[in-house]
Amino acid sequence: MAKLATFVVAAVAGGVLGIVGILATVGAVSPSADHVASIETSDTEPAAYGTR
Amino acid sequence: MPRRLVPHAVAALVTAVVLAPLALPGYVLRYDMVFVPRQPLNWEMIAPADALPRAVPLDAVVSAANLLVPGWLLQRVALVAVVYLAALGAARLLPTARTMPRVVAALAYAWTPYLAERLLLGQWALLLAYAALPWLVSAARDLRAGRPGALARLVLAAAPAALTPTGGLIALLTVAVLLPLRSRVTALAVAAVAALNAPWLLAALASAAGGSSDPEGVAMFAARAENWAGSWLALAGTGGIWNAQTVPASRSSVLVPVVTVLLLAVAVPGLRELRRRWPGGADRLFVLAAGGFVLAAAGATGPTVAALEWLVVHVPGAGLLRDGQKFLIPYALVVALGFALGAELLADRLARRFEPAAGRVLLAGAMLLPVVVMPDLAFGGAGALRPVRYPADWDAVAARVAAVPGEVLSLPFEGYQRYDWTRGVVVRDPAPRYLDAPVLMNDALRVGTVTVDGESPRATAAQALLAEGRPAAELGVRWVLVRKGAVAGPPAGVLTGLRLVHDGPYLQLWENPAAPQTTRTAAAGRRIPALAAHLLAGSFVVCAGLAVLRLRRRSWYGPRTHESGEEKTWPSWPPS
Repeated sequence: MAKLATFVVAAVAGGVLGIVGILATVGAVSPSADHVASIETSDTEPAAYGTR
Repeated sequence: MPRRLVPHAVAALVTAVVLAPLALPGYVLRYDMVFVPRQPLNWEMIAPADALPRAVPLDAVVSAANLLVPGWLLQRVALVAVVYLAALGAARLLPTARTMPRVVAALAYAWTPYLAERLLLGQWALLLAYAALPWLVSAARDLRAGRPGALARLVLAAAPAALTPTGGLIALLTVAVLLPLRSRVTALAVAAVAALNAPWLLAALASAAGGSSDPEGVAMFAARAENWAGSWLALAGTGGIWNAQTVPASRSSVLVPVVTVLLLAVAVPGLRELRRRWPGGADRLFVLAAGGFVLAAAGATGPTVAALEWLVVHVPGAGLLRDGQKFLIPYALVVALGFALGAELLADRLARRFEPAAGRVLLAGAMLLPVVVMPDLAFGGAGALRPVRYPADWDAVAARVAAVPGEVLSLPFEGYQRYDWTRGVVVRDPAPRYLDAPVLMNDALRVGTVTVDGESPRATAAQALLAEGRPAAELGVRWVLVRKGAVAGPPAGVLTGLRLVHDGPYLQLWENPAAPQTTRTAAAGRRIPALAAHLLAGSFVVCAGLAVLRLRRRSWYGPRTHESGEEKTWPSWPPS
């Protein structure tokens, strides 16, 4: 019973981390233009301190 | 590995993963982060004549350190200190005798959106305040408990925070809130940290820049939403910086708000446990964190926006509050401690109900959660912190200017610009730090298409003159530096009457033969007090360092609070 519970905890924790990680990595690799512009060339103003 | 070394090992690992690109040669130049090979020590570093002292005493400290250490190494030392001390400080501060929750706290504090976003904006000195806060809280706790050397350690912890006005203010408030009222020790500690803040306060008085700021900055530098959940939840997850250019891409993930809520849900019982383990002290820390959060949210929505706009116009120095998200530092620490203790409680419950391995699995998941939700902080923000080399033009121009010192006008008249040699990354004009001369540069800030006016009257006058296409020589500057970058160079009329003395692929230097021989600096009556304040703050730090050394503690940063295997030794805060 205890071993099964540990397996369940590991499976849930691993599943959550996996899903979050995959989505975060996908977001990092292909960011939404609306929200994120960490790629410098996406800003057309060459002397801007930043954009909102 | 001995248990007490585990937090060090974790801190070292996190530092190596985050700062991996710094193994390459060169300088990481990014927004506000400008290190140069040898930063001169001159009056502009101590008491800027025309600008607000945003980098006081930071610039003087960097210049002094540059006398011993080259800029490339100094940058690496500073950035390593930020990440390593943040992780280790949070791990040591957690009131537990167990190792795994300490590691959870280390990762929850050193792998945050706050650290990532401020790092990508190049605000490394503010991050020194972030890294110093756990040590400052620890020293304040020990001071209340009457431990020997605590006051000296408090001064040493506050010193890196006070390198910038914002960090110094946070350190001062931390000490004032955490220590008891009406106590001689509190008065001493507050006076010592106030002395560390004296350099920028006196430099502000010495500057010709007005104390009021452009109210448009309140909206431009307010916290922003990073995904569908809005700015408040972004702040709750310690993100929400105003600049979309410096946000890790993973922050746009649809699951980020869900993970933020999960993290806070775990932290809430942890904070209750924190109150139990630190009676009195935890409540004071919560007050500090809540105050920081309110400041961070004040510019985003509601009636506080108008109040902030009024403040920055009418109260000298209130411009510090425009970018309120930077005041989230105490909140980030409280969330990290709460999350670690909450995870420990949950793990204990699982271990008791089933077997110890189940608890350990949960703690391992809690450790990895901050990393998994923001994987792109790794490797220098997914490559954003790649070092570059300064073109040789900079050394040639610096030598020319050093031979005939005089004020330099830096063109294009933009404080920030992207260059080919920085691989297109926006960076603050390096001229004020590279050249041993006062540099007249634009302190207005462009945010998208909006320009937030600066405070320097001389920069405003120069902007008006240049906008009319009149010759730069009319400003009375000795030199005009033209930086070739993404912004078009000045029109020919601006350079009328000047003599070209250096024409390189990246920089041009023009000399004004008709310039006056005097160098523009703050008046002696104003700069001497600023220098005295620097010396006073420095003497406090030296005395504190000597006191700590004299006590021959096992480690400079604090007494060991437990031995391996010892279970319940964390001291309670004395009752308030």
